[in-house]
Amino acid sequence: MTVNVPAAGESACTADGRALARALTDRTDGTVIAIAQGLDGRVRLKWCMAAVGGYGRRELCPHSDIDLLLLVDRRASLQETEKALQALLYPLWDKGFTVGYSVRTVKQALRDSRDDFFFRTALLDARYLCGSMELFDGLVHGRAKESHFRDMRKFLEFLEAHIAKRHARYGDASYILEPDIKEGNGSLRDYHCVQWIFKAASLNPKAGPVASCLSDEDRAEIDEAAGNLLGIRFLLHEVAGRKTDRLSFEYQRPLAERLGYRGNGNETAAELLMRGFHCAALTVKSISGSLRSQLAVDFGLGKRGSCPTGPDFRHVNGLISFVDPGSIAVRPELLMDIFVLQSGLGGVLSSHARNVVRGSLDLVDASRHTDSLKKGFIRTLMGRHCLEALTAMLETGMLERFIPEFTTIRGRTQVDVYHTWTVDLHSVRTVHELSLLGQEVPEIFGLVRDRDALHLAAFLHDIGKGYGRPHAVIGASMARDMAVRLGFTEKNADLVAFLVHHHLLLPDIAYRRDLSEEKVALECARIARDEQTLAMLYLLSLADSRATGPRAWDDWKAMLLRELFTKSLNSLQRGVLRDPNTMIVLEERWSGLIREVQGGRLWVLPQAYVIHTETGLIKRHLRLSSGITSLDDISLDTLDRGGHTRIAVITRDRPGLFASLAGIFAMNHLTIVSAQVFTWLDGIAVDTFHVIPPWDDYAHWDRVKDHFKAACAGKLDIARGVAETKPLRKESAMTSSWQPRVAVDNAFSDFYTLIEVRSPGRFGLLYRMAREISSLGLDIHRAFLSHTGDPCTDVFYVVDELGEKITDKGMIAKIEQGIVHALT
Amino acid sequence: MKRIEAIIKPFKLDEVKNELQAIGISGMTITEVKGHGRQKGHKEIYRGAEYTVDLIPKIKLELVVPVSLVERVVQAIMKSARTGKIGDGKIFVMPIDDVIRIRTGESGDEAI
Repeated sequence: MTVNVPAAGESACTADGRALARALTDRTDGTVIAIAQGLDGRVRLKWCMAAVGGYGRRELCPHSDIDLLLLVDRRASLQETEKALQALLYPLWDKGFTVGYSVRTVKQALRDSRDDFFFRTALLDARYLCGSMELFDGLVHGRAKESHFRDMRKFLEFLEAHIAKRHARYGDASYILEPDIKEGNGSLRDYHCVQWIFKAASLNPKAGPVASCLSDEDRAEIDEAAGNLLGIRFLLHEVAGRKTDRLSFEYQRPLAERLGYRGNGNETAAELLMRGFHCAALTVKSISGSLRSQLAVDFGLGKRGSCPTGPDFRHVNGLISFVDPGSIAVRPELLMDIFVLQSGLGGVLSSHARNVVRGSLDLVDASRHTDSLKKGFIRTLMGRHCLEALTAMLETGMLERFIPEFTTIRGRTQVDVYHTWTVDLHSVRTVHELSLLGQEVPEIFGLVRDRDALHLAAFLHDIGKGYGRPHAVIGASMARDMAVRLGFTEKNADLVAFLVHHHLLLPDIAYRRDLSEEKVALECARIARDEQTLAMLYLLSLADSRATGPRAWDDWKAMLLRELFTKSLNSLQRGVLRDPNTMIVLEERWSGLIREVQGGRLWVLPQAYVIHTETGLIKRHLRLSSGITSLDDISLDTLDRGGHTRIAVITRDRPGLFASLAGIFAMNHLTIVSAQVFTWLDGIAVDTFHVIPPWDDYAHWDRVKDHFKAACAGKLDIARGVAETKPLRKESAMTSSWQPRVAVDNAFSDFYTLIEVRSPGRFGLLYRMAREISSLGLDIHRAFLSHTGDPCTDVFYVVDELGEKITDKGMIAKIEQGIVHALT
Repeated sequence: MKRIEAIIKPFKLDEVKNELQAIGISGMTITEVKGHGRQKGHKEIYRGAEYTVDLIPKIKLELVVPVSLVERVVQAIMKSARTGKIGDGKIFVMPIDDVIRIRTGESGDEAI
């Protein structure tokens, strides 16, 4: 079985770990034997010195423990044994060795190995050093007779239990960025396990054809890969100057230089080292894993039973295989279907099936995918067990064959504090997290119709890594091409590209912007455009973050991301952007403004203002507002619309501004028909009124201006002015008998409290209402008034002086009563 | 020496860090925390259902500086962390008896 080698043009630099370790072991043997032989004249007992564990296997690294087993005759006295031990250990300690030792008789050793699995495997590695050969032979013969060494099924059971625990603790060395060379999945220990299995099997001729489960090619490959891992471990001890098996970031560079890696434009020396390491670990993991799952079936371990699979596959005891590998030649889609099956049902590919897939990759033509291959791949992405299936696709080379672009991120390291896995596995895990989210937050998934696009985007979100920055933008166009190739419609291919392009949008905004600002949520909603896309971006961000590693994701970050999503979604579902036409209008206006307005003041415009104001008018307001600096600066822009006049008031916003304007209009007999009030983000208020002048050729706008300036200077009492102004026409008795109704709504907007007032149209009413709202300490941020019908309906968007919504029940009651009172 | 602890809004972290770096402060401890003071959490409305968020995400910043720098550090944090709205956070200044750098055994101002 061939595991993918580093990308073309890179030569793997490896150290022959076995030769290094063997040389060190031989030197150590010399020292130990010289000391041990000194025993002969000094103690009266029969002894034998054996090397066990890694020392027994001749795999010593510079800071490895020296594991020794001192076998003694069963008649040896305690004093003599103690003397012998001291004579051995003290000189070794003096030489700076870390010694692990035990003293046992042959019988004790065999008995202890029954209960202690680690000691049992240590005995499998035992190697004679010096002393009584007779004692050592006793151990070797005893081993072959003991049932716990001979019973393969039990041995494998124990082994699997230990392996499962170890892998859970140390993770997958073939993808982790700071892997454990000795204990992780795909590490040296997994290679040792293979060796132990063969050693144990050799003790029992009836164990069955265990050795034939591993082909000669596989055997040669795993030997070579493990030798490379050993070489890296050996040099890591040297570079670190201490015993450490974790290949952490700090050692990767010195180690890579030591091994002779040279960085190229795309990858540093350390990244190349890690790519090579991950490939070696993957070889060890795949070959040892296949062997063990094959043996598990042969010896009846693990999951029992078969799954219904159709005529082409077998799914027995969790192991998937081809019924007739010969038919692949005429039906290459079977190469994909086996992964579709795995993704749906779980389980692992048999070692034979893996080799069949590897050997048949030529039948998959990357440039001309058949429909069944395309559909199969998408189904694999969407399955419950997509993690197992995609990982198997990755490790058999099927994934790269089917999507050649994947080669660049294959085994690619990413050095930062967040990522745990290489880019390829991170991509696979993102798809996996997405399928978990489907069960965890079905209500959000309910907003998504094009799930295949979402899953493909999750799989491809980092495909642009390795081509420079920004990877999301580069990846988007690659992803689009791939989506088209996979048979997506143009529209959905665009969607996939969009999702890849913006996969960092939500996290970028959520952690760096003020979520209490409406502008932030609206901007996010505007980029997403609709509910489905927003939900997709959110799910993609969640899956991506969770697949990155524990440091990238926690409850704290989840809260911020969720707040942004919820607020943006609300603005699309209920808020200012709920009408799809609004979105179109908004896009047109913004692109027009960006094209036509120079000077960079566009950021001050709130979305709601842009929605409600035509582009020409916005440009006019921008021009008029440029002279407004002090509080009594005011700009009046009037336009006769025949029958009524549109008047825009532009000035600095301040508490009570709207009430003052309403009062001044009332004093001048200008009847307000409708009004829209906006506050720009730089504190400029733009209030547009439609008023009916008292007579047709009314031209006293300067008086309005003078009143405003006088009020600013404190020389005009508006309340008195309004009270003393008599309506020009008598109001009808009918309308004035209406009882006003006030409702306070906190559900509509995440940012403002809405006050809705329905009231009879009466002279000065708007002024009284606005004054009441101001006197309650509320800030009118936006208002929509319509005084054409009866009753009049007014909506005020308000916040308190701290900019917060009004949620206190007492305060809400006060608002409602206060306004009703002011109007009656 | 004083220990300065500041609770700030998450999105202000970069600004505050830059501001502190500008006055020569680079060592600090940053923690993601949750809590509330006067800003009593908020209600989120999602698909008609209301969720109450009692504890709000914040960033806690801790640093130890010589007395001579306290005023500048506090000013720098205030300047960069302020939005003027509720929930901008708080700065606590408290005395420190001694600081010892473990690697070298240096103590006092040298160890900061």
